Amino acid sequence: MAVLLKINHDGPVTSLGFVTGSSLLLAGVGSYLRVFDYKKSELLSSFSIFSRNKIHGISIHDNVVVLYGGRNLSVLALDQLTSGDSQRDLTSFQKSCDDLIIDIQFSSNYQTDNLIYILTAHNIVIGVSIFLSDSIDLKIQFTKSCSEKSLLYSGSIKVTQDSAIVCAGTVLSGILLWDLNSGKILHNLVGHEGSIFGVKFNQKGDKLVSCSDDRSIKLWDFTTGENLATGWGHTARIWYLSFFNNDTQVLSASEDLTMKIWNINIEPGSDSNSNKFSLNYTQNVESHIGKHIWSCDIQQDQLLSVTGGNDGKICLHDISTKFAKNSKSKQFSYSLNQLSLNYEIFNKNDVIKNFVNFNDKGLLLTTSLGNLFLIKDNFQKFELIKKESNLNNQFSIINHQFQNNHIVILTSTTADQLILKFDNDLNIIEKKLLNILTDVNDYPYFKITNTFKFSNDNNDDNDNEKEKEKEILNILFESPNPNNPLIVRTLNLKDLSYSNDPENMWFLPKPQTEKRFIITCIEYSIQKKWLFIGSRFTNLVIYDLSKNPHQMQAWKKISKGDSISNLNIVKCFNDTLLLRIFIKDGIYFLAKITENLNYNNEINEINKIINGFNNLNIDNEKSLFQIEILLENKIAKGGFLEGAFERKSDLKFDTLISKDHENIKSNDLILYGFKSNYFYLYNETKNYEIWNNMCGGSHRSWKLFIDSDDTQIKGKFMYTKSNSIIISSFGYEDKLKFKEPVLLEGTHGREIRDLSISKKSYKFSNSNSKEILYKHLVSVSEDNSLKLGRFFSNGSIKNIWFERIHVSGLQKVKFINEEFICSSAAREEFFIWRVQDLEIVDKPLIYCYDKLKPFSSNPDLRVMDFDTILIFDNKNLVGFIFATVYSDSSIRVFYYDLKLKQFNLIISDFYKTCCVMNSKFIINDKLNKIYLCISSTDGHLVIYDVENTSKEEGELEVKKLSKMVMRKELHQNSIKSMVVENKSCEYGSGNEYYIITGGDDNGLILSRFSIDVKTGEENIEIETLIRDGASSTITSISLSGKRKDDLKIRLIVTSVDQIVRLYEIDQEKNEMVLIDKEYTTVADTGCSSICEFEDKEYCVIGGTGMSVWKINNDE
Amino acid sequence: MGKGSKDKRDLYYRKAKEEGWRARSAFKLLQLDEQFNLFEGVRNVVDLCAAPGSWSQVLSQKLNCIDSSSSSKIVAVDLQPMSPIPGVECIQADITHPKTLERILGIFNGQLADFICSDGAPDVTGLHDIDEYIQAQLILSALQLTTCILKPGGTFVAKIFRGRDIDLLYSQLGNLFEKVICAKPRSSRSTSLESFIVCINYKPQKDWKPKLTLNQSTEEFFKDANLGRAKLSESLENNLPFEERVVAPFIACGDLSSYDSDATYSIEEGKQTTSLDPVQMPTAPPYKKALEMKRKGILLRQ
Ligand SMILES: C[S@@+](CC[C@H](N)C(=O)[O-])C[C@H]1O[C@@H](n2cnc3c(N)ncnc32)[C@H](O)[C@@H]1O
Repeated sequence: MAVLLKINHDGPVTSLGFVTGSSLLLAGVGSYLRVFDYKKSELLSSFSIFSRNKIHGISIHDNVVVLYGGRNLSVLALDQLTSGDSQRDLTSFQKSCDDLIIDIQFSSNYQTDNLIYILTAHNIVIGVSIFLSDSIDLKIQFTKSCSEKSLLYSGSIKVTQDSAIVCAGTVLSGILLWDLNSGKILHNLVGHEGSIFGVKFNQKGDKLVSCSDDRSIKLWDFTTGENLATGWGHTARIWYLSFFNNDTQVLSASEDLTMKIWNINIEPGSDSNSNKFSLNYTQNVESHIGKHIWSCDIQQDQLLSVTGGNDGKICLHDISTKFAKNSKSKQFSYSLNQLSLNYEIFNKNDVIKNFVNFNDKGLLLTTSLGNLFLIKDNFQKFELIKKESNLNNQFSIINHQFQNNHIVILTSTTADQLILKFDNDLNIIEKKLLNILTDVNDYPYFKITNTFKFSNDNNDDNDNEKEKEKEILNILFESPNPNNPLIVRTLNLKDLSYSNDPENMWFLPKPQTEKRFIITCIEYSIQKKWLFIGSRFTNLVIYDLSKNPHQMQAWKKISKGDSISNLNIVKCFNDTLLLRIFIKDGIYFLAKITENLNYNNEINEINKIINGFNNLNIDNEKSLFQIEILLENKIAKGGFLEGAFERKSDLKFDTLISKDHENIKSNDLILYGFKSNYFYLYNETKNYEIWNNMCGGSHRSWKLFIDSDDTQIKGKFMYTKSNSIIISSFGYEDKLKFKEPVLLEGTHGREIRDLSISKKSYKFSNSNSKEILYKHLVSVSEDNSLKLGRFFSNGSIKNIWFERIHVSGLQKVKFINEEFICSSAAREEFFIWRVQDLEIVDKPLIYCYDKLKPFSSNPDLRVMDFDTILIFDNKNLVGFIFATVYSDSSIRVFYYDLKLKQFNLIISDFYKTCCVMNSKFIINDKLNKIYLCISSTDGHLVIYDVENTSKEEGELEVKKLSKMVMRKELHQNSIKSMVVENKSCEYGSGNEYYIITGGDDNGLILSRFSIDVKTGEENIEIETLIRDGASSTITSISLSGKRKDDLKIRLIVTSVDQIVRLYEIDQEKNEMVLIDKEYTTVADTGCSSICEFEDKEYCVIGGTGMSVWKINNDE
Repeated sequence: MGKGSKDKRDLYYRKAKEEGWRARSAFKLLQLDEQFNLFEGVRNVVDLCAAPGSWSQVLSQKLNCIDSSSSSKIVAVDLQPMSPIPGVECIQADITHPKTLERILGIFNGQLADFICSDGAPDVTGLHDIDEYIQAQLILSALQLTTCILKPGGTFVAKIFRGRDIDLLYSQLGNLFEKVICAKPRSSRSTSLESFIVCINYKPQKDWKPKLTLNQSTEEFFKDANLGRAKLSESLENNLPFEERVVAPFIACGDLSSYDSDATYSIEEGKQTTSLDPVQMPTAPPYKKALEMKRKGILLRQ
């Protein structure tokens, strides 16, 4: 039996095919076929189709499914793929051609002739008949070609009544259309530049669309061969093109990660021959990450499309409702013109200033000239509420309260207030005029620039408190004068009057900041009576209103960026509160806030303002509140981040070999904001855009209303645009075509450079399910992202966070203990991350704890690798020693102080001038020795003695490396991977180490490094040298933690030849031998990691995609 | 990153500019020559996929073509146009097209070539199977020309990417040459999969006469060559598992003391700080217009 067993695979989705007349969807993910019920968003089963090639195309005719990829094809019966637990390994069915297959189609008379047409990359069509009996037999009937056997990049076969037309996209800009029967070339369509990447007929057969390396889409007339129109819009190559919606629209999918919908516009001419055509894209859908949407298909009857990316994600799109030309039906507007005409008050200088949304029942608008309009009856009717004649003030600052009472409070800059109370049908039932300054004597010149309300609208669970609070509403008034405090008054909602009890009238001093303090958002915890305020220039202030006098603590400039756009209490329990903080410029935090019980009240004013979140470990001691950042991330797209909410989605644990239907829900984080000229909702957990609206950009008044629904996201986005208010709704489709758009989550969209798995296992438990074990898995990619996910014990991997803090391509990532991760990248980036899996939060959280400052002003070095020693003081972890190695041959050793968050450089030196690839400490406690072992592009292994350079108290001088104790040429070229393992004492002195290296020269070498106890002399010996350890560069080596027969050390070796090899070291013989090898469809195979769940070992391999293997250690 | 930064990161790029090579690739051929002494007694050469032309420059220099009395012949072929090089005849054509091979044969007019090289690389799509296929087709086309025109005992050098089926190619080439070596010049980054096959001492297949006809695919050309390539069977049986795979010996070439292409070098103090212009500007890509439109913001949806 094999030692290595594949159990899961994530990677580029290279083909997709809907099965007409059913809810089945077939997807080619690597060489595996995954079968989905897309309506239920459920994976039905997975099959292994080809032994090496990926599935690049799917053709289906009734019960016959043809899959192809590379030179391989496989003909299967659909029943075979849908009937329960049938055989999963179907590789014995694979057949092959002598050339790359570009397209396969069924003949129009398939029922009688059983013929399929295979177009190959040399523009040759092979006609093959299929005999389906007990076995599936294929037989070549004919081979046809036209006079040009040039190489094709793309092509398609258009089956006609009695034959077929071949559309051949050549390498050099031409499209050849030839008749299959006669072999005659009908047209050579010229006009594109570069290789042709796609060409396809419409259903009717009178037009074609094509695309090429020039990134344009061209529409052609088949009869004349004329280029009718050219569409521009994609910024990279286009990999999919098809007509849909009765040939009236075109869908494209591209390397640039967008799927676009194009309208074919026809401007009628004098006769049909002189019609003018144009191609414009009307919709843009972004639902993948990294690079490339490789595959796509359209369910023509349902107007549904599905895309598959290099990121391994499969995403469904409704291309009817969302994109129908009359999408205005889901969007309507009222212009001021229309609103005011009936009342004869129309003034073209009047503009809508602000508005309030009544729980999705209607709107109240204010205008710059002080008019008030009410839109009600489900947005169908409107009326003017005349302004009070005895007041000239314009009310434009609005506050509202609408749980049980529909109350709107309008405030003018001169502190006048108009309070309106509505019934459920939005009829005014009470009206009141007040001035809030009449009983505030100290501030006669208090100009009001903004008001904020706070009451019970948050997630606090304390019910009694909530009931009581509902009867009152706190209103905060802000003035531009920095010396004026913030005034908070309490409005009694029963009689619409302010309490003038001094107990209920608060004057909160503003923090003294250099730049004017302007509030941008507030949040309040009723339970704790804590008021949070966010401002311009990213200041965060907390007022503790439970104390008398009120206490204040401020953090100045908590992040880069212009302002805090939103504050959001997630949870509040016992003594802790979880707060989400959104920075408008696209950063968000999750912070844990606790009261500092040791806070010294006497402390002076200065300490009430702390500079940023930089030094929380120290600042927390002296501040009123203690803040711990649990999560920090940056949004994927630029633009403005305005806030977020959560929604539940199913968590599935399917793998290649097992299906898990347990109904477990998990929360997805949905972000919203603006990018250039549109507003978006983005699923941050699954990385796709849910909805967008071309509102014109963020400079307007707007409100987002989300209907409370656990899973489906629906709501309204309302905004002002010039003189109109526009209400646009989403998610209210009558019948959902599918349950959930993301069928497969996938992973990074670019090559995975390194990955690491936590030692510790965590338990995932849900109220109604059994406990499932998982580990934290962190992976880094060339696309600058660091991903934290859960790796479940059945082999499935679920994404949690894609961290986007790095700005350059990553090199390495490692867990250095259960809580800390380090990552290194180009541009001298070396980051320490903290991962916490707290009971109070539903998922693990990750925060960039610290960053090593680059040494050069224009950092252009890559931090190639690092190793770590943990430093304890009385069993408490106090710091780390890092050895980082760089692309310019530098080697640096640091001591990092965890509490002070400080890197102290201990050693700084160079190896030579070549790039250092690996860094590893060898620690021998018995002999009290610390060595640093490095390998480099010159093929040498070098060992330094660093024991006498370890940290001493008060020592500041930066040292050089002591001289090398060892330098040995092992490989001809670069050493790509290196691991070190202590040889067991049972088989030697205990002072011996195996060093296993893999190189660019295909070589795998076992060396033994030993230290003589008596003389202290070091020695290195090559024990096994395997010249062709792989047939290409060896990119990673991972050590198993187990010992086979208590003797043998196992290791997994990956190479870009896509073979995963298992080697074994016999410690008695000091010998390394190959035990097993298996092919993996993960290309660019570059990293691996081994972990253990309940005594069983698993290996995760990363490259362009990820695969999971079980190591059968009994074999 | 600016131009200066590339100078610093890539020493070979900088050196190429200083020494007047059109591309840093020149050093790869020079380092291969250092190791294998490729040009001894060589007069007639075909340089496939040659643009912008640094290999042709090296060849022109080494075969002493600057001297107009030289009897050497160098033919360079590429999809892209190339500016002239003394003693080199440039053809702009697709090497995977049989017509191109015919044109080259025409120029040699019955004479045989001593050395054929191809530094061809397709525009990668990112889809490995396709990229590997196109790369294999480039090599196959070069090999097609080789079997038609290389003199017995001649040398063939071609760029390869050591992907998953490289062992298959090694085994096929083994049928045509005495020695097949996988060589990696130090000027080729170790982070890239690129290396070069150096095939020494051409021995034509005994019972097979290569015959180039216009309307023929590479597969058809090699059909009876008995190189161990996959064949089309009547019932499309999968013959892949029986294909032979061998690993060619690997040789790193270029002196260890020569520059490391993965390392970051700092530009020496006092040395020129203004960066040099690239010797040969890259030619216009097909998507030039799309780039321009993107820059002008015309690609946004209405
Ligand atoms: C790496 S460059 C060659 C550099 C060249 N050896 C030098 O030293 O300047 C690869 C070249 O292959 C060419 N190429 C790719 N496919 C080709 C084809 N089918 N026919 C001809 N040239 C091709 C490209 O146009 C490109 O110029």
